[in-house]
Amino acid sequence: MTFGSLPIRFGLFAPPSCFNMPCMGSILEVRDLRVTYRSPGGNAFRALDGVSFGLESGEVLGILGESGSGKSTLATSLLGLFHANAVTVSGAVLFEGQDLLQAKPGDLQKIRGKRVSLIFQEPSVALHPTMRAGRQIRHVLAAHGTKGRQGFDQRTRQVLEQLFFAEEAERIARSHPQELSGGQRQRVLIAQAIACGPSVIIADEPTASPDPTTQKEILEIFRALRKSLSLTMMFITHNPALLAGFADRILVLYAGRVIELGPGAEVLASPKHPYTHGLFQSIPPLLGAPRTAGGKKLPAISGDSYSPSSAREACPFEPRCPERMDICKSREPVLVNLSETRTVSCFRFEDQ
Amino acid sequence: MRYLLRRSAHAGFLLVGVSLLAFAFTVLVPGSYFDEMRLNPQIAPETIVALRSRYELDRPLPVRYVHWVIGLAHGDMGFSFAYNTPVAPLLLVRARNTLLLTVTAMLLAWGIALPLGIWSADHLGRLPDRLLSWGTAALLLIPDLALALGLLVVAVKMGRLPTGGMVSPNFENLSFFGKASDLLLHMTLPVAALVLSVLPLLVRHVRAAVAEVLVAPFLLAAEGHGIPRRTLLYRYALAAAGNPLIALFGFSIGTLLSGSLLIEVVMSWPGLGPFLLEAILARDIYVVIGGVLLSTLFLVGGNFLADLLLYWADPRIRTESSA
Amino acid sequence: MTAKGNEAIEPLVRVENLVKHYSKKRLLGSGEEVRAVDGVSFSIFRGTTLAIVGESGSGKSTLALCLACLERPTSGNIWFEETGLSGLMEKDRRVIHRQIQLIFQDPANSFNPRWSVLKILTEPLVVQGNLGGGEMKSSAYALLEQVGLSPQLGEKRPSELSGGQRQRLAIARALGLRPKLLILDESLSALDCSLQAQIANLLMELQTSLQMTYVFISHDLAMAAHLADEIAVMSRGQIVERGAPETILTHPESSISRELLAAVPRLDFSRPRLAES
Repeated sequence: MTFGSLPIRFGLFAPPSCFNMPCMGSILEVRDLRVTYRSPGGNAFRALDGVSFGLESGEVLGILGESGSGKSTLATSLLGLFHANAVTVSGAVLFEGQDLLQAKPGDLQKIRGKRVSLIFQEPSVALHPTMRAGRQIRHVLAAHGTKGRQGFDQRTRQVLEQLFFAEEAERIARSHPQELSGGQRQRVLIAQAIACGPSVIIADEPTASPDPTTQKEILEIFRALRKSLSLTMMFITHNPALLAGFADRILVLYAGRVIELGPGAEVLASPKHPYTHGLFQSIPPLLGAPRTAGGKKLPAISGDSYSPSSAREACPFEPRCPERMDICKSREPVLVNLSETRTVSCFRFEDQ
Repeated sequence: MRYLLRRSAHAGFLLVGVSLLAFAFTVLVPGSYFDEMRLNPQIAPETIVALRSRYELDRPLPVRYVHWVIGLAHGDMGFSFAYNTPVAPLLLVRARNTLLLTVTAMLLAWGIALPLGIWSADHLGRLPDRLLSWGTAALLLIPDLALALGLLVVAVKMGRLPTGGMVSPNFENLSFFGKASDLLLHMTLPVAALVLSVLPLLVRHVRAAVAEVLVAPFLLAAEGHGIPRRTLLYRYALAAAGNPLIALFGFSIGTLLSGSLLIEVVMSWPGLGPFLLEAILARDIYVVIGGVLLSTLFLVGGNFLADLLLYWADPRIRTESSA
Repeated sequence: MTAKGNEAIEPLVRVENLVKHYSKKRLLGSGEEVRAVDGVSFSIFRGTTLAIVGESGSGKSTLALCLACLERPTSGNIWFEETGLSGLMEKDRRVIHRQIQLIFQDPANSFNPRWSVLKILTEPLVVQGNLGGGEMKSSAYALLEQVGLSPQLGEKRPSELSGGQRQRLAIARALGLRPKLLILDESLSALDCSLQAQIANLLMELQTSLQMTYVFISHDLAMAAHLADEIAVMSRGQIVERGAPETILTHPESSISRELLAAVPRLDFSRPRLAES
């Protein structure tokens, strides 16, 4: 178990864990998580490069990240799910005091799905292709102690009725995944996740469905579930608009690092990091924003999404940053506190 | 439903077609059973002509084919010249003997290949898996003949197992258990040879199919739900990897009657293979045609069974076929 | 839809009562008829963008296929530069077909994975047949530059490119045939937000410099409103509402439009006041 060793800078250094958050309420704590994949060609790809944060009990933490940011690796790493054979992991993921990365497989299996649930992205591939939906839910129940046919049926119906209309629930349980629409598959995934009554849900891009109305419905479901089941949620997405009015805190991930963290409304209203700022600007406003005369140019962030071949000892956003300085190329910025609840990782804020 | 009807129609066409072709080819081959007799000066030419007309050897092909098909509808597969009895009982006894071997061998082989292949896929790339891969590759390289002979040598050295035939000479006098154990003892070597010859291929297929599925997202998702490893491997992975394996299974059934010829000959097992070989050499045409048809029946039936199993096992095929 | 300033008065594309039915045949009984496009009419003027928005199943992708001459309509007609497509001989259709290009949603699967970028770009030029080898190569490099891709990517395979680069490549390939109309079927949906903005800007630039006409099909009302000069809302195979973006966004008339509008996630979480109608 390693702690990140961050040098003290300008007296505003914050300890790596729970940046100024009261640690008592943290139900899940991530400490300096680093995950590196090794491809057969020998190249090392650093998916997560020292991520630390705390998840407060009862809150919704929005994780904002685009492709290359490491968000999906974050989702699976929290439960110790590593698929590729060649992967190096360091750091700690503490759930109620126990480090999940060091846990025995037996203990881990008891926690996954029962205390902490993961909702995979891409519902079309996250469900078993030839098993009926109801049966897939039953397997989750069976893995965590529900016994008896009646127990299964009852609980499956209960869970499905929270997500579908009562008349539909029966039919959905008997359907195969390819007979269901994208939105329905998404709900089955959610049903699997809540079946055993977890306290923490990690949702990875749960609204990547084509329909805007389906997206809206799924978001509503999450809101309702959060209240009715008193869930703590980690909501991973690349679209900041989905977090508006929903996330209590927002964490921005870039190149496998945390670059901004703060209360949801604040981060959305006044993003500090140039990347976050640029990201929000590049979303077309629905109405009201004055169109620049002579063109409809969106202030987009230049350059391509992060690719891990960049130099280690520099700010990963530097090549695309409109506000870059000389120091950005030579050193990596560290997270600094802008206030009690706000942290950002950028040299522009280091002398505040 | 449409899918099943289509497959049945296929199967039917195949059987009819094969019967026609088998009939045509066998009959059109120059020479007949009775040609040998012509060399024998003691048999009068008139006798031969009479025999030929009695067995319809002088009638045209279509007529003979129709008569044969009609006979088939009554369970009559024709007449064996060499044995002087109807073909059907002869063939069926021999087929039963072969099936005894091959069904046992197949059940054993699949019963070993499935867990072995799954275990191998679970440890993909690591030492135990590599060792198994080398082992199966080595087994694949050894020809069936060498395997069978090797086993015979071992048996002779050990002196415990009978090295040929299906039953001992005193079989009829044994008790029920005596008969059963005698049969089993005689079956051991040929079954072992069959299993060893077919096992490496099965293991490799199972391993490949399961390994491909083990990296699928839905498996990782299921693992994330805390589903135990055993269920993941046997219930999730195997079910998803089923399609190529079911097709392979159907093919295995197809070779039930034909795949054991070599082993039967080497181990003197009174099966269909050696019998058919004899009949071909002797131009005992009805036996040959009957044997070929029986083999085809198994092949077609095996594939059809595989189609049925696929239809049942994979709901995606059901929706595809109705679209 | 009004023409812009000094553009030609005649529309580039005119669609009249377009209908496309698919029938699902069954073994017994009558077949089911799926009315993907059920009587659609509109015009598009050169150099403008028409956005077609709607839910999945509304028929927008089928409409795209019909416009791109990849599907034959069941009835109705499409005019391209005043030439009706339905009565044409096959070879004449092909000539017009080349002037309409379609860009799909999934950049990963639009290319032959074994071809290099250069080959992907020169292949359509080979089909056209009127350029020599050296000229094709320089045309390909010119295309790369036009879409903002580095010429060094010429020898790479599509799998070595990022999602944004692949989508640019798709646009470059489409431009190679010098089309007059570009149909973008959910072309931005698979990209990250920041990349969407980049590609959107590129499309706007190309529209100005090459006089491109776009049909932008999407479920993303915000991006559609940003790019389009006119929005058509589709539902169940029909256009239920049509108008300028400002109008649709502030005074949506049909319930579908209102639903779509309500479903757009808003960053500032303050919704525009919808006039009560």
